[in-house]
Amino acid sequence: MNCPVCKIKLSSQGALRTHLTFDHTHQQLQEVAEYGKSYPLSSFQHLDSKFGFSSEAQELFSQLHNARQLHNQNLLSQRRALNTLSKSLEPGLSLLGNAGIEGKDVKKSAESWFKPYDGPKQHEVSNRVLSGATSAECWRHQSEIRRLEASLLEKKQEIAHLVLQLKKEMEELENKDMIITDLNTFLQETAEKQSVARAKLEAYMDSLLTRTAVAEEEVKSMRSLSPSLLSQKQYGNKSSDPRDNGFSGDGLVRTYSVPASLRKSSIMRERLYTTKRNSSLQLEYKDQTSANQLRRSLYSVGSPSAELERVLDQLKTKQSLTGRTSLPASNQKSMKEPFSGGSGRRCRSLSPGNEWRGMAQTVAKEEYPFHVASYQETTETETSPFLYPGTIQSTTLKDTSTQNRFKNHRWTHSSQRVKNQLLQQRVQDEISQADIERSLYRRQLQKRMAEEEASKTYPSRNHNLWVTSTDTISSLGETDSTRSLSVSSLSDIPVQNENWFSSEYHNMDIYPVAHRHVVLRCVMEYLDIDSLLNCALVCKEWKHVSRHPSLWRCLHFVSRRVSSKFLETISSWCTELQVLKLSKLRSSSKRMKGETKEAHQKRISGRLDEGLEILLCSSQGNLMVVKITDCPFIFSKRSLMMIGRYCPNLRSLKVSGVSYAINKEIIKSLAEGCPNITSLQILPGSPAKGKSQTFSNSCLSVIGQTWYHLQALSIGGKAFSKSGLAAIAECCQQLQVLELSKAHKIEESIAKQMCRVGLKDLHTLFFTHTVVTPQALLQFHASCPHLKCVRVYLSMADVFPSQKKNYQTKNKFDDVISRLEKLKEHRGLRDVLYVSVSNR
Amino acid sequence: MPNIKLQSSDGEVFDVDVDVAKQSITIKTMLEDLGMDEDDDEAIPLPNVNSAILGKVLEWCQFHKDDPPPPEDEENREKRTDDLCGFDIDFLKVDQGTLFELILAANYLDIKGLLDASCKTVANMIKGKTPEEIRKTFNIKNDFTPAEEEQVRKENSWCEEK
Repeated sequence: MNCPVCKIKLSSQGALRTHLTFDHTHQQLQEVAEYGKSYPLSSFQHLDSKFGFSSEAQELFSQLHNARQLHNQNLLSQRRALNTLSKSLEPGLSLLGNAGIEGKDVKKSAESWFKPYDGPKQHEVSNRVLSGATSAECWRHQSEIRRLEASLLEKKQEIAHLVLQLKKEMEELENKDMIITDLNTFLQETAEKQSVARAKLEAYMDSLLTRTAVAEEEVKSMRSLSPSLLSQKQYGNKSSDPRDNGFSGDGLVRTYSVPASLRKSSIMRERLYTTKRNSSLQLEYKDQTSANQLRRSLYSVGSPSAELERVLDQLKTKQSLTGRTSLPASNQKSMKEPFSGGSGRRCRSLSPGNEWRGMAQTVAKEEYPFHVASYQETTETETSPFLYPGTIQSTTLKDTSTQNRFKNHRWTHSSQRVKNQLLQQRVQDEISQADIERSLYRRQLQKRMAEEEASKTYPSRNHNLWVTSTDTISSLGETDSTRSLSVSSLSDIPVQNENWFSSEYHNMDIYPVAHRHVVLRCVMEYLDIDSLLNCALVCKEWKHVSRHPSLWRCLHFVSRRVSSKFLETISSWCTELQVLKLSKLRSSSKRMKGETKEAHQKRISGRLDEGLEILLCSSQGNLMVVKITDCPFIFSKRSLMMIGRYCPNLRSLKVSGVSYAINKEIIKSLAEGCPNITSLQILPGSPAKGKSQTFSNSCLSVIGQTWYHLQALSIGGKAFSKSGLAAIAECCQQLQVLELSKAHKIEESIAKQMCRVGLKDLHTLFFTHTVVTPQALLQFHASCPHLKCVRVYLSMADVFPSQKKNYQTKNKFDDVISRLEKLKEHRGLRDVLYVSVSNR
Repeated sequence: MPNIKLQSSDGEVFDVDVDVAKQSITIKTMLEDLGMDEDDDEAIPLPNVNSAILGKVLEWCQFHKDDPPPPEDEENREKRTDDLCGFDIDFLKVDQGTLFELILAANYLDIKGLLDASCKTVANMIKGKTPEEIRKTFNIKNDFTPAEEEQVRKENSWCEEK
């Protein structure tokens, strides 16, 4: 059986049916059916035989059939391709709106093109072109869609990101707002405090002014009123007064008069409020002397910290004194009340001085110590009536009865009026003094605040420095308030003190922080670095004091293993470093097992450069003296460059025993950085193998041109010649000390040349391991008028460097020495020349 | 020899030789700068020194009045603390409170010799002691946390452990 469409031979009818169903489409079958209507499909194979076509026709038919079959196969393959293409497009197409419709159209058109054969090749070509075009378009769309999608995603992410950022910024803004509100409230608080404090200060000044006014009025009224109108009182010496101490002005009286109110009655009620101030002279005297002290302390050149302390203490004393003298004024105010009939001002408290105390208390809380002293005083007057009898008396004067009693007193000495005038003068002086003090005090307060800030970290019982300080000043014996020393009588005090001192106690806490710091700092001045470091471990306060930069002005490290880290650590408080001496330091890392000497040297070379750099940098140009001796390898030539960079005020520099070659570049960088050096010691060590000495004449010329004011110079090595030495002698006319170390032999000609051009101020000359001829020494002695000391250090190797030690050379060396020794017989050189021999 | 009067913070007046008092640079400058008459009856108030300490200070000054002025070579001053003279050693055998007050007074009055001696005495109490021993000597409480103490210890090491 053959397939009617493709003429393939098939085994059975069932197979044919399957073939037709699976391999051919419906259209194809229809087409075949239409074509061969007249032929029953079932007996297709019998066509030719049944109808008896001519062989030609059969031939034609079969040819046609073959051609059609070929065409159909072509179409079939195309359709398959299209199908797969549309299938592959479908998932993408179905997702999208317009594109999807388009895609379906494409599919439809693709299907519609799939028609039974009705034209030859033309159709086939257009079909192919069209499907290609649509698929390309699809592809384009799709890619565009993909691109759009991707960009959409990107935009979304971007937006999310932006939203996040916005949130963050909002949060930040909120935070800032909070901070600003905090700051505002803080500012307000401080402003309020300030205004309160200012008001109080003004009130205080006002009171002072009113006091003057009152005093002036007093004096005026005293002048105008005849003695008969005045209530008078004569005071005799009170023998019971312990504070008199035999002062000459015992009888001096301080007088305050209170003019009565004019409002209430037309009659002048004259009242004199007189108070004997037993200690008034003493007070006045103290006023003066403390002012003098103040002035003196401004002149004096004591240690700054001590001076500060002193000025502060004096200020406080002065404050307490003014506070004391201000008491009567407040007394007067309260005294006025009954006569003026409540003229507006109301007395806040019953006892005089309470007003002051109240104010002082509030002020004291704010650590505004201006009034603290007066507070102290007022409390003291209550507790210790014998200290200020005058004040206490004044409180009792409030009774009218006592006043009446005073009415009957009379003036006896006319000289007292003069004294009153003096008094007025003094009050005025006091006011101007107070002004000066105020400005001084402000400056001190600022300093003090800074100090207090620094000392706040310590646990201390006495947080208010002022209160404790005034305590101490008023009487050192009363420092500890908890001890409740009852000062019932002054004569008791020394006894109390003795008890206090003899009692065994070892607690430094009872002293004010400031005093403890002063004492600790004084003591620590005498400690070496190790003890000082140990002190930092005792407690926080000791750590703080022990690391005060003033204790670290001079560093002297000898024969130590030091790490760069240690130098870095101490640099944080060595900010006032002035003197740095490093001698025979070694690296912190020891030579390891199996490591050769050279390898170790290489490993540790320049190890301490970094630490030194930080130390030099933190010294902030305070360094005056730097000495680095015998520290080979751990410092490289960078260290000298760094000295040039960080030590603009260097006065003295010593570098010796270095392992690197000092050349002109190093000297130049030093010359640029440290122009003020007056003492320069650059002694080249033994240079490393294969390197020649580079400290040459050009180095010397740089030295001579830069440091022409040099007073002391040490140079060494064999790289410079006598012309270099002569140039130095000519440039450095102020040279007083000259040392030549390991230099060429100094002969008479060199000495002559040098002395001719300079060395007029020379007083000390060293020849260390430098051979010098007796003639040269004589020449120096003859030409340098100030020469006081010539020292020659020699060893055999200096005289005979290349020869081995033997009997002959020993003799020759002894000969050289003896010739030098012989010079001592010379009259002028006897006390000048010293020759020493080292057995190297 | 003219005398002057010095008044301690608690009011006691000491009558002393001017040359003795002038060892205090503070008093010396006060007399010189302010032209205080030496025959004046007025006493100089010393508000920072109480009578017990002022008495001790003047005792020291009395003994040392003929001392040569101390050399002033600040830079080369070796921090020696073992060069106290016999009198000073005995004089400073006092309790710590007195020593403390003496240093304060010597600092305030600017008496270099006394400041030297008293500070050296205290420095000798500190030298060569471990921090714990120092704390015991001066009855100080260790207020470091272990971490802080370790930190300071680390800072104190001359070379890092290796």
